[in-house]
Amino acid sequence: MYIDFHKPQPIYLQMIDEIKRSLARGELQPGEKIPSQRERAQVSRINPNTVQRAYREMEAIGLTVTVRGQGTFITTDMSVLNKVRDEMTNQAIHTFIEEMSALGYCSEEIQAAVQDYMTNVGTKED
Amino acid sequence: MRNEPLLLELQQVRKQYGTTQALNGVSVKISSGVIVGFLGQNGCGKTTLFDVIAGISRPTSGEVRIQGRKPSHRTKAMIAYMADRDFLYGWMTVGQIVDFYASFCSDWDEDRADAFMHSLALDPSDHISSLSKGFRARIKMLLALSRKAPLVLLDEPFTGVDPISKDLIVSSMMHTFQFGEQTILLSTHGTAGIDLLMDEIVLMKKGAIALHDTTERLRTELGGAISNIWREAAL
Repeated sequence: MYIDFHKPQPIYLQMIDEIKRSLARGELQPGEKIPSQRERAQVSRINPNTVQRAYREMEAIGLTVTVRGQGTFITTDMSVLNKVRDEMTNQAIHTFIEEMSALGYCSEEIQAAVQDYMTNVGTKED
Repeated sequence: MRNEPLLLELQQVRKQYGTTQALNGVSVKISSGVIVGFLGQNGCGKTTLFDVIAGISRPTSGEVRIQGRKPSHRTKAMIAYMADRDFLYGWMTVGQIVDFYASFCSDWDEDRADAFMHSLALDPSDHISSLSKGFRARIKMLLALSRKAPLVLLDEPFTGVDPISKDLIVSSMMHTFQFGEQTILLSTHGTAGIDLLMDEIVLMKKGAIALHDTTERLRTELGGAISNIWREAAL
C-alpha cells in the first residue's frame, strides 16, 4: 500500500485514512485480514510505534478486530463500515465545496456546475 | 518527552579536543522504546556524542546517565554501537565476522542473526574484502541489531549506501524492532524518508542541540516536509 506522506497530518491518521479509502473502493472487504503490525512496519518502512498507534486507534473506533493468535481483521459490523463510507463521502464533498467556494461559486452555481459536468462528461472516467 | 521511563540523560556535556569544542553543552533526555534521529551536517558533533554515550570517549565536563548509571563496563554491555568507522576485517568471511563478533556479546541472539543474514541477502561464505559499501553496511546492521541490547546507536548507517541496501536495512530494522524494549539512536545528514522512521528528531548544530521534538509535531509545524528543517535551523 503506497501512501504519499507529504501532508502535514499525523502519519498514523493518514494510515487509517488509507485503510478507510481502500474499504470505500472495495479493495478491502469486511472481515478481511490485514497485515500484522510487524509486517506493515517492514513493508512500508514505517516506525513500528506509529504503526502500533494506527492499529490501536482502528481497534478503538471499531474498524478492526484483533483475534489473539490469528491476526487483525476488518470488522464485519456494517454500521461501522457504513459510517466510515459516509465519513469519507462527506470529507470528499467538503473538500470539493471548499475549493469551489474559494473560486467564488455560490451554492446554486456549484449544483449547476456538477449537473453540467455529469451530463457532459458523465462518469465514464470510472 | 514521553511517558515511558527515561533511558538516557545528558546534562551540559562538553567535549574538547585540543582547541576544538566538539560538544558544547549538550543536554538531552531520551525515553525508552523510541527511535530517534540525530540530524546535522558533518562536524556538528554527532559522532562525538555517540562516542560519549557509548562510553568510548569521556566528556570534558557534564553528566551522562544511562538508566541512571554513569558510563562504565556495565552500561557498555547495554549498548550496541555501530560506529561509522570501518571495523570489519577484510580477510574474514561474513560468517567468520559474525561468529567473531558474537563471541564478545553475551546478549547475542542467534535466531535474530540468522533472520538478518537471510533478509539482508548476505552470504556467510563471502569475503569482506570483496563486498561493496552497501553490503558492508548490511553486515554492520546485522551485528548491531542481533544483540538484545536495550540501546542501539547507529552512526551514519546510510551514508554512501545504495538505495536497495538502504531499503533492505530499514525494512529489517522495522521488522525486528522490539516494542518497548529497544531504543534506537540513529545519526544521519540526510532527511529522505526520515519522518516515517523516527519518533523524535534531534537537530545538532556546532556541538549543541538546536532542536528536539517529536516527528509528528515537526511535520505539522513544517507543513509535512521534514526537509524544511534545514531552513528552520538556519534561522
